[in-house]
This record gives sequence, C-alpha cells and structure tokens, in this order.
Amino acid sequence: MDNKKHLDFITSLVLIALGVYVTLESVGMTIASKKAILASPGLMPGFLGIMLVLCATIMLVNSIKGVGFKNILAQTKQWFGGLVKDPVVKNTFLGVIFIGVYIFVLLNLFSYWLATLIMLVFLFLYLKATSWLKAALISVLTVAAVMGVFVYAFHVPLP
Amino acid sequence: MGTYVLQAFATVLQPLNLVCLIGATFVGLMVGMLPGLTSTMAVALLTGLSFGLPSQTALVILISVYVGAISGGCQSAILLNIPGTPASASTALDGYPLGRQGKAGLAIFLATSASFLGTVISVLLLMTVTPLLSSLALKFGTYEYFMLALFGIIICGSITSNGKPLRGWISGILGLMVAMIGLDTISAFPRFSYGITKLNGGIQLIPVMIGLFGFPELLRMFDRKSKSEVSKMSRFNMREGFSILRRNIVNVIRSALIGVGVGIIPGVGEDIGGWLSYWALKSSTPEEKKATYGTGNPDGIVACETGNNSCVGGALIPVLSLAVPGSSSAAVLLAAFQLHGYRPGPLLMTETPALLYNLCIYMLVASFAMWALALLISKFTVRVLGVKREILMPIILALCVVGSFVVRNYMFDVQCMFIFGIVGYFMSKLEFPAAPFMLGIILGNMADSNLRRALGLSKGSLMPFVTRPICLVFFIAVVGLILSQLGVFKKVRKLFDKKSKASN
Repeated sequence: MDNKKHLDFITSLVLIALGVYVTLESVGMTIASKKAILASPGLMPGFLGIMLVLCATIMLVNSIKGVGFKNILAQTKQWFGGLVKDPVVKNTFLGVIFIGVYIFVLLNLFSYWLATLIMLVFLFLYLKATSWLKAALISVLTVAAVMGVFVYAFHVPLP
Repeated sequence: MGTYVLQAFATVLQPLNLVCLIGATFVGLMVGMLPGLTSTMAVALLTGLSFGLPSQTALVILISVYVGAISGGCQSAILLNIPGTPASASTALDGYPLGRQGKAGLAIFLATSASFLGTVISVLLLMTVTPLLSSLALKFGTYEYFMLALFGIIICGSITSNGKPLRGWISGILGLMVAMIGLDTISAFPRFSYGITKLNGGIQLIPVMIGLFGFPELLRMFDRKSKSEVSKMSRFNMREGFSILRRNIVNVIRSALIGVGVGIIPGVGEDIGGWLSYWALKSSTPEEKKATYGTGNPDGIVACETGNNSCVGGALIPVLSLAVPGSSSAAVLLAAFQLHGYRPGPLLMTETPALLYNLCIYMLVASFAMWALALLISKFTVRVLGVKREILMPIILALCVVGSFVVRNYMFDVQCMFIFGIVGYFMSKLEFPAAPFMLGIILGNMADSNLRRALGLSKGSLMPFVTRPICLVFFIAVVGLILSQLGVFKKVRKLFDKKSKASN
C-alpha cells in the first residue's frame, strides 16, 4: 500500500484543485443567474465542490501520514523521473494516440468503413496479432459484417 | 397480471424476438467467458447497437445479453482460472481446482444450472417485490428523492471500493459533477458548457459507460500479451450434478436471497452477490469441513453462481420501482429503457405495468436459453478462449465507436467515449471504482433538482431532511455508513474496552 502513497498524494492534489475550481465556478453561476443561493443553479455544484475538497484533503492527509511531507515529495519526484522510461506507460500512451487518431482524424477524414479498415489492419499488425494476409482478411470481414448488420439490415447510419 | 404474462410470452415467442433472444444470450455467454469483457460493457454496447430495432426486440436483446454475460463468466473461471467477468471471480476458487481434477464438465454443469436457478428465483422476487416497492415509492417527495440519491452514492461508494470508501465516494462525487454539465433542469442555466453548444445537452450516459468500462481493457491490449492455459473439457456427469444440486437446495435458496438483496442495493454489482453467498455458505459449514473450500468443493460453485445470477433480477427491482439502478449493468438498462420511451419509477405500475411482466418473462426465457446454450457451447469454449486478445480488442474498438455513435448519430458522443475512456483508465489504475461514478451521472439531475425544490419548499430549512420518516431512515443509514466506513465505531468500542479494563 505504502508504495502507492505518492499516487494518492498527486491524485488528491489534482482533486483538491478540481474541487476548488468547481466551487468557484458555482459562485460565478449563482451571481450570473441572479437567484437566491438556495434556488440557484450553482447550489449543487458548490456542494459537490466542497465535498470533493473535503474528501481529497482526507486522502492527502492519509497519503502523508507515516511517510512525511519531504519523503512523499521525494517519492513523487522519483516516480515522475521513472515514468518516462516505463515501457507500460509508453505503450499505453501509444495506444491512446492510435485510438485518438482513429476517432479524431480517420473518422473525420473518411467514412466509417475505410477508417475502420485502416485502423484494424494497422492494429493487428502493430500488435503482431497475425500475418499480413490474415489481418487483411479479418479486417475486411469485420467491416463487412458491421456494415451489413447496421447499415443494410437495421438501416442505422454510421459515422 | 395473467394477461400481461401471456402477452409477454406471445411477444418473446415471435420468431424475430426468439432468434434475437437466442443470439443475444449466445453473445452474452461469449462476452462473459472472454476475460476483460464485462456484462456492463456488453449491455452498454448493445444498447447503442439495438437502438434502431423495435423496442420489445431491443429489450429482449438487452435482457438476454445481461443474463448470458453474468453466467458465461464461469466457464473461463473454471477452465482458465481467469473469471470472464468480475461476477465469476468467486467461482474460480472452487471451479478451477475441480477442473484440474478432471471434472471441468461437472463444474460447468453445476455453475450453469446454479446460474439458471438463481435467475429464476430472482425473477419470481422481481415480480412480487417491484409492485410493493413502487407503491412505497409513491410516498416519496422531493426530500426523499434527494436523500435516496445521497444514500445510493454513499452505499455504492462504500461497497464497491474494496475497503477504500473514500475512493468510492470521490468517484460518486465526480460522477455527480459530470451530471451537472449542460443546461440545468429547472432554469435552463448553462453549467460548465463554456459556450460550447454541444455541451448544453449534457453528457450522454451510453458513450460514458462504453468509455468507462471498455476503454481500460482496450488500452491494456497495448501493454500485455495474451497468455492462456486452458484446462481440458470433460463429460458433464449430469446424474452426479443433479444429486449435488438436490443436496444444495438450502444453499441455492440462501444464495438467491443474498443475491437479490445485494442486487437491490444501488450500484452494487453481481460480484458482491457471488462473494457474499460464498462467505455465507462457508460460515454455515461445520469447522472440520471448511478446509475443503478452495480445493474444488462443488457446493462453493453452486453458492457463487446462484448468488451472482440472482443479482440480475434483484438489480432490476430498484430500477423499475425507483428509477435507481441496482448494478452497473442495470444502470445501462435503465438508460436503455428511457431511450425506448419507458419511464421506470414509482408510476411504472400505473403507466406501463406491462414492462415489468415483459422483462420478467424475457428474463425467464433467456435463462432457459442460457442454460441450454451454455451446456451446448461448453464443448467449444476451449477454442473460443484460445482467441487472442490482440485480435479481439481492435474489433471491440470498432464496435465501441458504433455503439457510442448510433444513440444520437453524433460524432461528439464518440469523442466523449474516448475522453471518458481515458478517465476510466486512470480510475482503474488508481483503484477508484467506476460504478459510483456512473451512478453519480444517473442520479445527478435527480439530486440537483430535488435538493433545490426541497429547499424552496422548506424556505431554506434542512429540518425536513431529518424529520420526515423515510428521510430519517435514509439519514440514519447515510450517517451510520459514513461513520462505520471511517472506523469511528471501532474507535469508540476500543475506547469503551480500555475504560472497562481500567475500571476492572
């Protein structure tokens, strides 16, 4: 458990910042809506912001307890240093990029069948799932099945 | 009631619906048995995919896939020692050792039959308890609804967080915050939309759910290679199986009741039902026989599978009577019911009473289909479990996009799925449960509008939240839960023990 305390430390700081931001936004909403606090649209966000700050502060205190502020800072620095070299982080980041490119670029440039075909062939090959020929075949069959079922059978439009 | 039941049978036995039921149960079993694909993910995906179908056909599909997925997880738990869904985690304890003893067939027969019995018992309770709870829910006012939402988040956060309630509560608060995005339900004031028109409509539940539950698994395909050592399949040995089930009648009934009870608790899923049933069985066993658990005791498999599958019916009880989901999958079902024009909640029994009986009958027929299909396909399970994750996951990604898109035909929803997927990935890495987050999104608007209306009615006084009888029950439960989870009761007991020792 102790080796994850630096993660709790960072998470709680992020959550406190988020809670403070939401609370301040809720004050802005109350002023902008020109309504009494109890009826204003900022009431619930304000309540949630305060609750988040409260819970995250308890988490922060728990993360420092028994380790000490200096030690947790040192652990956090060390963790950040190792993060860049971690192969799991690198692979996951690449995964996010690949999926992001498919959703934000390919699907905006091409129709669903072409974007998905490109994505499937690329991922099968990148992940070394199978041979070139099988990757192409599985991709074509998958796209054909999805198009057949949704576009032609159910008349559902696709991106 | 009789007419509704007959009509429901007539609907489900229509050729299209029957084919869809069998197909969806099959898909559910496959999803359930493939590690990493959960029932929630399957129901969320199919909610989007079945959107264009007639509403009854869509409901048949969703219920069948839910029933199938919860049961399917046992096959990989027994053959691989990797539960296909979290619901079957407890089944692996005795299922896998029994499989290693060359009795995988018997273990699968017992697990499937127990799943079937659990579902049937939960359907009977769903039929009887829902109308009662609906009539109680008619007494709910704005104060009670706010307290119910609060209670739901607190209890869900406490139970799903593996002993770290603070994480569960934070997850619930974050979900409630996401629900605040868009125009507010009372005065249409834009909140957290930053002038972006697309955000004014709020964040749609289905893309968020697909992202939260599907994306972490998609990303994991980039950091690990699939490994599988599958046990060999053996004969079912039905005669022995039936005699074990006969011996376990009390175990089945107890586990089913535990499962339904767990299912009713907002946001608490089938995995807890399985674990609690296993624990109850173990606690009721004589001390000298306790050592047999974990070594392939068939009674353990029966308890776990009855317990987790009876949650399916139990989780639908609060959905239909209070519009509050009993599990993550039930939360998606609630969204699906609303998508198809139903309004689950206290007025369900007066507005659309047929829905309850339709769902019960669909679930009953689906459980029969599940039993038959699970036994039929178990011979081929070994091959299915051999499919590489690297092949399966990119295909799932393509389906996640379709599932997120088809609800509103909006690319923005697909982008939301991506963003909440990343949130879901971080949450799973940091051990924040996703269920309270999702429950928060569902209950957010209900909590917000009812809190403001209640405070308006009471002219700012908080007293009605503790003086109205139902509110008081919720208030005591919420405070009790928070104090117990923070260990206050233990500290008080220690203090008393010290004092009594000192006085002695």
